[in-house]
Amino acid sequence: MTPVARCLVPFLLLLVAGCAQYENRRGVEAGWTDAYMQTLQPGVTTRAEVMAALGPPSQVIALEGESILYYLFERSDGEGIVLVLYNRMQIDTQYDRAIFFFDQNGLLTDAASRIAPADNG
Amino acid sequence: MADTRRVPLLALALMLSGCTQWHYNLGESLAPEAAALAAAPATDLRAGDILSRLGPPLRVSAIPGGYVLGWESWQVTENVLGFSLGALGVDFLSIDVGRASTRNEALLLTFSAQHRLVGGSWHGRDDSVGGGRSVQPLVGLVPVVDVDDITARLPQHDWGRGALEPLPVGLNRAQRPDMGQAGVAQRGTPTGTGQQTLELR
Repeated sequence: MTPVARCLVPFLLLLVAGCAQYENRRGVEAGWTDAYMQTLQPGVTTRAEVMAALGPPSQVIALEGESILYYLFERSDGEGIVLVLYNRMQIDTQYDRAIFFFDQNGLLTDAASRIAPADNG
Repeated sequence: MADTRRVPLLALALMLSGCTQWHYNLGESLAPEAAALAAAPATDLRAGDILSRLGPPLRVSAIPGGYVLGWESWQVTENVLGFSLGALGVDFLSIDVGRASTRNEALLLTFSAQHRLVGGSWHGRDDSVGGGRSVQPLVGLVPVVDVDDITARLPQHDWGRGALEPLPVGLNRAQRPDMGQAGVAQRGTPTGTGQQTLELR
């Protein structure tokens, strides 16, 4: 290999750069919008109505006579650069979730929800 | 040494090493009042009040006489530096050095069956979660840093998969701390002791 070619090899390597991006979605589609949450009425809304609106939950928890429906939608966004000498990946995961408490009669007692911002910065 | 030789030598040295960084952000940071809630739990606070302040938790479990709600946030950084020994005439060996660190916030609140706050615990800290060094043939086949247990998906997604798990794991499902009835566990909790010992992992 000539000296000139030897010099060019590392610079060519630097040009062989790449990037990567991916997204990952798991869980129950987030139907618990602010508009939906405002329609809920403690003591009136039933467990069946919540499940009819949001579908099967991610988790059902039995308390003593009461129950909890827990909904989770997990979003991961990753992006990275591949420069051979230096490689970097960043993965941001957000959790959209909602929780509903029901009494012995299946009536809503408490509820809360959170839909994380689309961009974590 | 002539400049014409220094340039390729420097470039060659650069070619022999490489650095890889992984950054994971898992969930949003906890609200500033999280620590105060844990430090001075007030029994007149209801679960609904807490949920309106902090949002839904990431971990939920029934316990005798009530239930627990858990919130957590993790930032994980993994750095790996690799060298080839080709310059020393040892083409078949590579050296890898890696280390991982985390920033973790966790809040666990305990509620009575009447939905009153009765206790809490919070921590926010920076930790080194391990690292390693290796000399391996040709390329680094064995990872020197492992954070898979910290970056794994939340267990709520595994809802319908229980019947397909290995028998020891399936038989132990009622005792697992991620099923909503037998306590909660933070990310990265070792499975070799405690409620998951019988799963023989």
